[in-house]
Amino acid sequence: MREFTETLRSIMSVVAHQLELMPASEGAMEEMTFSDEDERDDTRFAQDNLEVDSMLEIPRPNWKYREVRFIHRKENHFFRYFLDGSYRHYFLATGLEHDRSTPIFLSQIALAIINRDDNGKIHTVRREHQWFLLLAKARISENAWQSIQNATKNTPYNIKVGDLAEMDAYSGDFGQAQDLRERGRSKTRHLMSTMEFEIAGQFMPTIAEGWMIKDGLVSFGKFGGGMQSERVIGVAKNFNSIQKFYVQGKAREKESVASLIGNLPPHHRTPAFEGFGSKTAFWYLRLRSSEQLQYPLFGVIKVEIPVLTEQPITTELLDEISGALLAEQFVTPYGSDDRWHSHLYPIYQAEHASKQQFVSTQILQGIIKNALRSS
Amino acid sequence: MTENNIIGRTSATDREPNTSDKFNFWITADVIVNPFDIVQSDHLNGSKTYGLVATLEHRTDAASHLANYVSNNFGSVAEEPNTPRVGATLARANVMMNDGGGTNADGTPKDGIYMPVENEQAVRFAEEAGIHAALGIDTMKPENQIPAGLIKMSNQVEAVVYLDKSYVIGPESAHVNISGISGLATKTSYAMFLLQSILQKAAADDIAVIIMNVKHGDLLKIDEEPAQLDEQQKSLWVKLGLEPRPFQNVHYLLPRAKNGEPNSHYRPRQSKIYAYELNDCVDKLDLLFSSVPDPTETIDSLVGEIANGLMNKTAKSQFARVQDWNSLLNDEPLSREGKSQSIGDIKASSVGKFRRHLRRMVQTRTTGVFTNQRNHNEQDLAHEIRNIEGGHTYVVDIAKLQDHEQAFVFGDIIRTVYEMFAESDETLNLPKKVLIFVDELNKYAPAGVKDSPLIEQILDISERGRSLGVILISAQQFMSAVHPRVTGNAATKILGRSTSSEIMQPDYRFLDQDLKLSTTRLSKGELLIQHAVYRQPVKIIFPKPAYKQD
Repeated sequence: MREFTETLRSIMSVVAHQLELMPASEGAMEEMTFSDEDERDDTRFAQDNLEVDSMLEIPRPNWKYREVRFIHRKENHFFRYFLDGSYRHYFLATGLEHDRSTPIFLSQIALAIINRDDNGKIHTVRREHQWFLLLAKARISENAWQSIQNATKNTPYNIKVGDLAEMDAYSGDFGQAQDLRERGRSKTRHLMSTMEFEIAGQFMPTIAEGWMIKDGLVSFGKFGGGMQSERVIGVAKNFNSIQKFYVQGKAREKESVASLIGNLPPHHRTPAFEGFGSKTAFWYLRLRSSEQLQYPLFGVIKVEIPVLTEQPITTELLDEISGALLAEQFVTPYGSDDRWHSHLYPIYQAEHASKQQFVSTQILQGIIKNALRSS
Repeated sequence: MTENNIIGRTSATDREPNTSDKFNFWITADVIVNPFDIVQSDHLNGSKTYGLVATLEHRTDAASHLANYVSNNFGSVAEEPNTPRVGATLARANVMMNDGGGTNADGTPKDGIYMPVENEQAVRFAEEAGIHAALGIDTMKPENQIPAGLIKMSNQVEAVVYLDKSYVIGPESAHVNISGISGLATKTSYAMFLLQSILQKAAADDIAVIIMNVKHGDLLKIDEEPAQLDEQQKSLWVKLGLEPRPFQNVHYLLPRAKNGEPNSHYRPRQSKIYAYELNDCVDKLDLLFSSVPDPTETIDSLVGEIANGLMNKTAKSQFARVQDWNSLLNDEPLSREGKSQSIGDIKASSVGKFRRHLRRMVQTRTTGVFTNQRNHNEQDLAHEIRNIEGGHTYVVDIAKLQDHEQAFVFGDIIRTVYEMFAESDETLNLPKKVLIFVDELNKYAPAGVKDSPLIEQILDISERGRSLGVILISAQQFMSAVHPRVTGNAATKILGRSTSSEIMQPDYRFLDQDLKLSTTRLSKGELLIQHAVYRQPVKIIFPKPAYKQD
C-alpha cells in the first residue's frame, strides 16, 4: 500500500501543479451506487426500441410462453464460466484552471471470471483490477491533460486517465446539460462494461467448451458496441419496464413488460425478441413461482445474447440455455442479497471474487488524504 | 494437500482475529483434520508456531438455515444444487509454542515469538520432532522420559509422548489422577501401563509399587503371562520403547474371610492373607470411623481415650481386661452387664453409639478381615507394608471387602507408608519411592466432606508425598466427586471418555472450553493427558496390559 500511496501522491502532485485543487470538504467520499442500475441502464438503452414486434427465434413462435425443462449440470454442464464486474468510485476534488473547473474522481474496477468444475466446485480463473483517474478533458488545457496523462504512465500501479466529458452509452452526451459531478458513476460503469466485454472477448476463445454467463446486459442498445463473443449470454436481474411487446401473431395486442412477465408461469420463458439493430436477442425466464415471492415481477430474469450473425436463434438452443439457467437457481443467496429471487449463485460468487480485489474504502480514504495533503 | 504439505492457511478476521493464544485456519479440500491434531503455522522470522486443534466448524455463505431451506426449492429434498454452496471448514488452534526460528549467534535457541500469527500463513501437520517441541518434550532429559502413549494424528503421523519423571514421581511435582466413565475410559489399564512404563524406564530397584485391587480379580494376575497379546499390541509396546511383559516380583496380600481362607476372587501363587485383630488397630481406630458422622467429635474423643488406654495398658488400668474386639465391645470399661458405661466426660449414650458402630464394623458386618485373633498364617498388613522393598510390587486385594473395610485398609496402607517415610531415619532400608495405585478414590476422599481421618491422611500424601517419595496414582469415574485438594495436587491428569454434565464441572477448568466436549467423544482406549510440562493436553492411545486378564 505504501507504493500505491507514493504513486497516487506523485500523480496528485502533478494534478495540483497543473490545476488548483479544492479537495472534497469531508475528505474523499465513496460515491453511492444504486441497486437498480441495471434497470436504469436498460431503460436508457431501450429508448429507441420501445415497441418490440420482432422476434429472433426460429421457428417463429406462435406461442406466448413456453415451458422449459431443468437441465442440471450433471446432465449437461452448459454454463461453466461466470463473469461479473464491480466498481467503486471516489470524488477527490474539484480542479480549477482559470474560470474552468472539473470534478476529479478516482475509480477502481474489479472483474472476476469463475469456473465451475464438473463436481460443482467453483474456482476463480481470471481477475482484473484497474484504477481510473477521471476528469473532464474539455475543462482543462491540453497541456494540463497531457501532463496528467504522462504522470500516470510508467508507474508501478496501472492507473489510467479517463475523460469525464466524453460521450458514452451510460453517461450520454455531455452537451445534454448533465452535471459533470453526476458523470463519475456512469463513466465508471461504462468503463467497467467495456472491460467486461474485452475480458470476455479475450477469454472465451481460449476455452474449448462451456458457455459463460455475464452479469448484466451484453449490449449498449442504440449506442452500439457490446459483447462480441460467442457462447456468452448476459443475465439481468432488473430491467426496464417501458417496453411493449407484440406477441402471438398479427392479431396481437401490445403488452407491457409488467403484463408479459407478470403472467409468465414458473419455469416458462417468452419468445426471444429482437434487440436494437438485431445485434442481440433477449427473452424473459421465470425462475421461481411468484406465489413464493413478495412481488409478482420478482423471480424473473432477462436473458440477452449477442447475435453476431444477425440470424435468428433456434428454439432448441434457447430452450437449452433457459433450461440450464433454470437449474442455476439452486442454491440462492437468500438472506444475503435482496435480489436473491433472480440472482444466480455463481454470479453472486463472481461478484464476491471481484470485490475481494478492492482496496478497502477506509484504507483508500487514508491514502487519498495523504496524497492530497502532500500534493 | 499441496506438494508442500500445506493443509490450509491461517485466517484472521475483524470478528475472529488471531491472538497470542489462538489462531484460526481454513482447511483445503480433501484434507482430514480432527481435534487434538497438532499443526504448525509459518510465522515471523522464519519461525513456526505450533497449535493444538481445539475445534472445527464448517461455514457457508448462507445467511441463515432458512437460506438453505429456500435454496432447496423451499424445502424440496429432491433438489441437488447446480452449484454447491461455497463453504469452508475452519479450525481453531490453541497456540502451544513458537520455536523462534533458529538459533542465536552463540548457538542458543531464539526466543519464541508470541505475536499473533498473521493472516494467510501456511499451515501444515506437525512432524514428530515438532510435536515434541510443541509439548515441551524436547526439553526433557532423556533419562527422565517416561513413555505415556502414542499420539496418532489424522495424517497418520505418530509421535511417542513422554512424561517427565521428575514431574510424575517427584521431586518437582507428582501424582497422577485418572478420570472417566467406567468401562470406556480404561482407567485401570492405563494406570497399569503407566506403572509398567515407570518401572521399565526409571530405576525400578528404587521403586516399590502398592496396588489396590478393588474389582474382581482384575489385578491378581499381573505377574502372569497373557493368554494372548496380538501383534498390533506388541508393536505398540515396542513403538513406545517398552517391553510387553508382566509385572515382576509381585506379592499379593489377600483379606481373610470368616472361614480363614482368602476372601478373593482368585488366589495367586505368591499370596499372603492379612487380617486385623484389635492390637493391629489400636492406633488406627479413627480410620475405622472415617465414614461415621461425628459433628461433636464425641467419637473422636472416645477413640482417643480407647487408643490411649490400650497403648498404655497396665495390669491395673481400666483397659486391663480388653484383649480383643469382643472384650472391647462387651467388657469393661465400655460395657458392664450389657450396658454402656460412661468414660471420663463421655456419656454412656455416646459410648453406646460407639459400640453399635464398632460391633457392626468388626463383628456383624465384617467379611472376616477383622478377627479376634489372627492365626499364624494371617499377617498384619501394616507390618507387611513396612517391609516393602524397591523393585517389588504389592497387590492388596480389597475387592470383596465392605466399604468401611476397604476404606480402613486403604487408610492403613497410606498411613503406614506416610509414617515410614515421614519419620524415617537413615537406618531404615526404604525404597526411594513408593507408588500407590487406587481406583475409586471418590470413596476415600469424597468431595464435599470437610475432613475425616482418612481424608486428612490422603491430603498428607497429596500435598507432601512428593517431597517424601510417596506418590499417589488414583482413579475415579468423576473427578468432581473427589476432594479438590487431592486432584488439584496431581501434576498429571488423565481423562478418558466423560459425560457432558461432568466435564462442565469446575474441576475441569484446566481444559479449554472447546476441548471439553471432545472428551465426550473419546473412544475406548483413547485418553487425554494434561501433564505439568505440556503446554496443551494431548490425545493418546496406549497398549493393552501385557499380563493375564480374564
